[in-house]
Amino acid sequence: MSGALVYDNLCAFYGSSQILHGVSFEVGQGTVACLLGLNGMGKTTTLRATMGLVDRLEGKVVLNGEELRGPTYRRSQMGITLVPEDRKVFPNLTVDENLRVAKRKAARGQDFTIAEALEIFPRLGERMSQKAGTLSGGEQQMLVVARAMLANPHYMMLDEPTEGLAPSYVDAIKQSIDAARNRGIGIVLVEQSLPLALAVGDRFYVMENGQIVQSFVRDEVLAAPDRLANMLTVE
Amino acid sequence: MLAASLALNGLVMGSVLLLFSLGLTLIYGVGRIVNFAHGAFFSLGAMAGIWLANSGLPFWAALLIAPIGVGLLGVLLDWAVFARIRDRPMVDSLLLTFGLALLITGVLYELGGRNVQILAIPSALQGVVDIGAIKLPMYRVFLSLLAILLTIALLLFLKNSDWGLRVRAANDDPEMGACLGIDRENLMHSVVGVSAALAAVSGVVGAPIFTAYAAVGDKILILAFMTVILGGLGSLRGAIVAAYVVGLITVFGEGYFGGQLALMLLFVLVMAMLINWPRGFFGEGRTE
Repeated sequence: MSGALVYDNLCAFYGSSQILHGVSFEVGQGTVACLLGLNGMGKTTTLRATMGLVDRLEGKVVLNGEELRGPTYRRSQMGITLVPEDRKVFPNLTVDENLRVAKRKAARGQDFTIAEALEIFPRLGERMSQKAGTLSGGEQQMLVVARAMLANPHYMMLDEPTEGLAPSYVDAIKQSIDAARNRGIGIVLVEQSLPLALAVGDRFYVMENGQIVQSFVRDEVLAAPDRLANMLTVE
Repeated sequence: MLAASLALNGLVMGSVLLLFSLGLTLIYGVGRIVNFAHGAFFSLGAMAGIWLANSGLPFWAALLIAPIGVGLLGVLLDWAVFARIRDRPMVDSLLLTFGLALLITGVLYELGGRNVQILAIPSALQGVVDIGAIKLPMYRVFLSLLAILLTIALLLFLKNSDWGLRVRAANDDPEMGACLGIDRENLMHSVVGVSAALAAVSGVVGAPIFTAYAAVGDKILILAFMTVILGGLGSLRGAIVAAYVVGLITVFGEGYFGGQLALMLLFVLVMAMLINWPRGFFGEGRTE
């Protein structure tokens, strides 16, 4: 698949513990791949391994035909970014500075601007001069998603972006995913909330014990959503 | 009069500590390296000032050249040494930088640093400044103003430049910074370079007061670690306040109770902070 993000038999280790056991799947440009599964099955590790944030890797991840290698910043500069599950804002930077520090030009020439990000997350516009560490949890989550959009990557990885959020915030996160997809940004979404996954996902991969054990396309899931629901812990 | 004199000396000591500690704080904040070699940068600056002055260059030239040289050495050391232990357990950086400090100090001993020397105050800065009934030595006023101006310049650059934005982001969260494409390696080279240069500036301007010899940076390093702990690890504004607190306590303690008691007082304060307020004056330091 041209421009795809391809996971090829990826294995990841923390110390001597092997967490991923040969993960293989593909994500296309402008599509959303949902990684689903119970806690501790390797979803977050898959995202962290993509960024080179594990102790050791085997197998490979290929982006636009080029293998992702080297330190995290280089992988990011190749066009991939991560929204981690623990709302990692830069707490001593203002909201404005958090957004500006991430801003990069898009390789495709369709930049997300700060103004566009604030249209999706208007609450952030009211907090631009506020230190990010003083924002509420929901606002911090919106900030990290907006920040990732402004990095204008080829692919964005979101780790449980709606966990613990109020419904209005969840809607904004969904809007941001749609906006990114419309710009051709591919998304790997780890999500415990099945409704959001069903609303935005194109392909669904179920993980167990560090492997992908089942995959579904959107039509299969919409025809029988209970099949997925039975495999997941849904809040 | 004694109190006024001690207050001025406390401000001078605080200003030197400020220049020195900001670099220490930045290196820890961005690179998570506790840099025991930072005192050696101060000694190197002081000794370089002496060498340059002895070679016939004016004080002002020494004040410019020595920090540039030490700053470039800092860049080289980060590239060749510190980068090898990035993200390793903190004990690795403690041992490595301690060894590096001993190495630099040993080299300075062999290059004439056994003898205590004093850098001559330039003629333009000799004399006193009259402020009402108080007469202040002009050089000490100059030193304090220079330190304050350089600190303001550094803080403005950190606040307003792209470099500063990346440094502050990496200071907050290096891993997240990397996820957004911030190249911490190149950033760290520049941070260590700037920090080493600031330590050298404080070494050169301190040489007429604190003298210059191979291990002159040792005492200031201890005081700087206390500054960084009191201010909170990685907290820039905490370091600013703490530098003057440590400077004033040190000088007033030495003036009224003697040097050892002053240090004991500081150690008690540092221990109390570590136990009760480990994140420092503003509660924004790290505790790992």
